Amino acid sequence: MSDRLRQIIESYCDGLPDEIERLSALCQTIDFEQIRFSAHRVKGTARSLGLEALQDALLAIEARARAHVEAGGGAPVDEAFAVDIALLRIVAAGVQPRDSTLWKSIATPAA
Amino acid sequence: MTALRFVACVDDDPHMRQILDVALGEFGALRVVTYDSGAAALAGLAAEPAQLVLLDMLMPHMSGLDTLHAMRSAAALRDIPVVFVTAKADEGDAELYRAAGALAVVSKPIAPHRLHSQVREIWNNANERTAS
Repeated sequence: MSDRLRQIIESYCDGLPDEIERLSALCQTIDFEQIRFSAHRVKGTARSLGLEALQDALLAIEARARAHVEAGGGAPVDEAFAVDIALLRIVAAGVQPRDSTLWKSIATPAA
Repeated sequence: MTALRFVACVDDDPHMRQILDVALGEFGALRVVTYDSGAAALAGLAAEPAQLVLLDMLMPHMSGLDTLHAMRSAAALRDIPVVFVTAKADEGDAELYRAAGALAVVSKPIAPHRLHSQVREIWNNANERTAS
């Protein structure tokens, strides 16, 4: 019954490198609203899958982008985004589907 | 009381849409249709109205609140109940969403095995309030 959930978790983890590259490219721009939405979207799923370290790393980017949006968006690209992305890459590199609390909550099917 | 059979879910994240589809469709035996944006939902719901809509709040271009307002302005959609599914669901936010016309607010992260029960409870409570 939970095979699809496992597949979703695996698909999410497999897609993380591409997501991070997209986010990294966005963080080179001043489109802070788009950075915020993208980080929020990836973070929201990390949260629902129970990948807490990943969620925290994405939250840092979302919060920084939101601060730029709320400040009017006129500020230059914040170099701190590069640090956030570097940390995100480190965290994501260690993420495995089995780290997900949702994965752990799925009963192991009978062999 | 009309039983809940058909729900629509609106979320910009593809994995979240799949999780909602499993949670409500596979675990809850509901018919589920998903949309990746408020605009897509408005078009899809006009063609095929669901009994209940689960709306993400923070989406690009058209937020959950924008989508709800647009639904309330469209004759064919104005009576479809909306439940917000959001990480931003403290009591103040929930009050704001209800004041805007939302039936209820479900907090993210969702529990995939329990979501269908939560949604059915919201649906049944609303029906009982309407009947009394």
